[in-house]
Amino acid sequence: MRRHAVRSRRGVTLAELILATGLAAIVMVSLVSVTDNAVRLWTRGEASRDAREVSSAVLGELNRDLRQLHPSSEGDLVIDWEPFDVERDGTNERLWPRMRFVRDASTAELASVQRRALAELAREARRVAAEGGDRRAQEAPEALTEEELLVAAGLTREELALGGGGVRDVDGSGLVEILYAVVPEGRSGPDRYTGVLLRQERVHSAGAPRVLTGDGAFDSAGYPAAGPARELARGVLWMRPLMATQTTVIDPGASAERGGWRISGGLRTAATSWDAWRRGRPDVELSDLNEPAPGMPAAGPRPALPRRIRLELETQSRGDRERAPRLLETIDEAQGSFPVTSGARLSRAIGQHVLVGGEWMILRSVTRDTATVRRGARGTPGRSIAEGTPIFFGPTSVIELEVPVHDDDWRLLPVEQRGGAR
Amino acid sequence: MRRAGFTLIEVVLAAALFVMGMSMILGVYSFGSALSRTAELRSLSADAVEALVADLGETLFPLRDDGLVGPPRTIEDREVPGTPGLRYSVTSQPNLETLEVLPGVDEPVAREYAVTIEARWQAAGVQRAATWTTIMLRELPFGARMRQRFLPRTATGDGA
Repeated sequence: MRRHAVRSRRGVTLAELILATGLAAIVMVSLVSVTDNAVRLWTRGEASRDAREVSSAVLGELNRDLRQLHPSSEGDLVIDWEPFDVERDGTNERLWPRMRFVRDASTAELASVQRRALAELAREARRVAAEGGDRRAQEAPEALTEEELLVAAGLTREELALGGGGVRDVDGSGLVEILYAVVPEGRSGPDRYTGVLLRQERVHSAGAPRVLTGDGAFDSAGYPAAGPARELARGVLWMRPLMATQTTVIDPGASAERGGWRISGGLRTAATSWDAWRRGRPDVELSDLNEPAPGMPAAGPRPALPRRIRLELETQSRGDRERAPRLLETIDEAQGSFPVTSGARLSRAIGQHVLVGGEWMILRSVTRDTATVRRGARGTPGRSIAEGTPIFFGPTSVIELEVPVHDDDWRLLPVEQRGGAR
Repeated sequence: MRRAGFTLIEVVLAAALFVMGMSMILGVYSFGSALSRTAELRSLSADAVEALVADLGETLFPLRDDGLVGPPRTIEDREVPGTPGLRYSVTSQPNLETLEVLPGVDEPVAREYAVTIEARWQAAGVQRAATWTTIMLRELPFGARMRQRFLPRTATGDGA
């Protein structure tokens, strides 16, 4: 009895303790690794979904606009690149595309474009009045009353109820000028390297002077000049339109680098800029990308429109940009390997393009907290980059869209007039 | 009174059950991610298929030296342009009511084909696919004809 009590109250032996600890350790390790994997997979999916949402919204809108390009003598399409000296040191760090065109719109759509423009004017008038000390306009300029909106749109309440607002002839159609431009998101800090995509629209009547596709669409700094612009997306890291000319060979089997969407070389490659009337509007002094493609037909009575447009877009959410890995030391123009913060997060981008300061690099590998890259990708030269600069990256979204009003036109320019032909 | 604790067997069993339970719960995450990846790729492939059909209109039917258009090629396991992780195959089924004889070809060739595009991807180790079928005529658009005839002979043609 006594012996039994002693035996039952003995503690655990060392062997048991070690065994139990060992088992617990194995259990914990496997649990942690499973959790870690699950969470990593989840955040990765979340980031790519976020980016995909933004890009599919943007690409959807661009798609809707470009699909209705206007093919008669009033039509137009200008795609060019504008460099920005975001560091204000005399060199251009960022190069952003802009696209301007004339497209068809139904009368109903024209009316709503006009109404939006008028409401915008009313808002502006109210803001100016508020600055001038008008008491009635002291409230926020955005909060227009219904009455004011109606007056701005030139409508009575009855007309609106009857579906009015300039829409007398719903079968008719007209033209709108559309402008898309990427400009630097901020003036200082890492935001100056990312872009914000702006969109402007304006009713165009045949024969009237052009505004958005004309000379006055941008100010000297490269920002849209005519009227207010709507923001479509922030945190744009990369946007590139590519256009298929008459002669661009699109081989669906080959990769972008080897296939028909190559951008340098002869007739088979794609165009990086476009001028539907061949008036030399893309400024070749500013960038090589503004050179006309060799496969462009001569200027004719109608605008030359591309067969197909391929749009590439990379964006990164504000949260991901704030948590972005950073350089741990200042690097020179050619250094291919450098220490970074949170290499684990960066390893998601292996094989992708990453934006560091104004320079694109291709991330080759990440070992612990050391990143190995190929410098100077996407046409950006290698440059010295300061410690603490964030490393941006996001998934690439691509759409290719047919231009239904494209007309084959094989009046190609003679060889000596083909700009960029080699 | 017996005050014996758990036996080793019990502890191991409990731990094993715990791990199993946890991995099941966490497995839901991976399952969710796989589902969302599938949804994403499915919508991507739907976006890409329009451009693919346009490409096929130019490349599916070979242009012969005599200017006639031959029967369709079969395309196996190619990458969908611009969409890594998504691959596609194309098979064609002739409409036997539209057969005609081409000079220099023994078998009669159809004028009309039902073309099936199958896009495939992997999510969480499972092979998934979406298919589209469209009807295509055995002919080449003017532009594609010009490109195939004119480009290979141009001196400035390929800047590779």
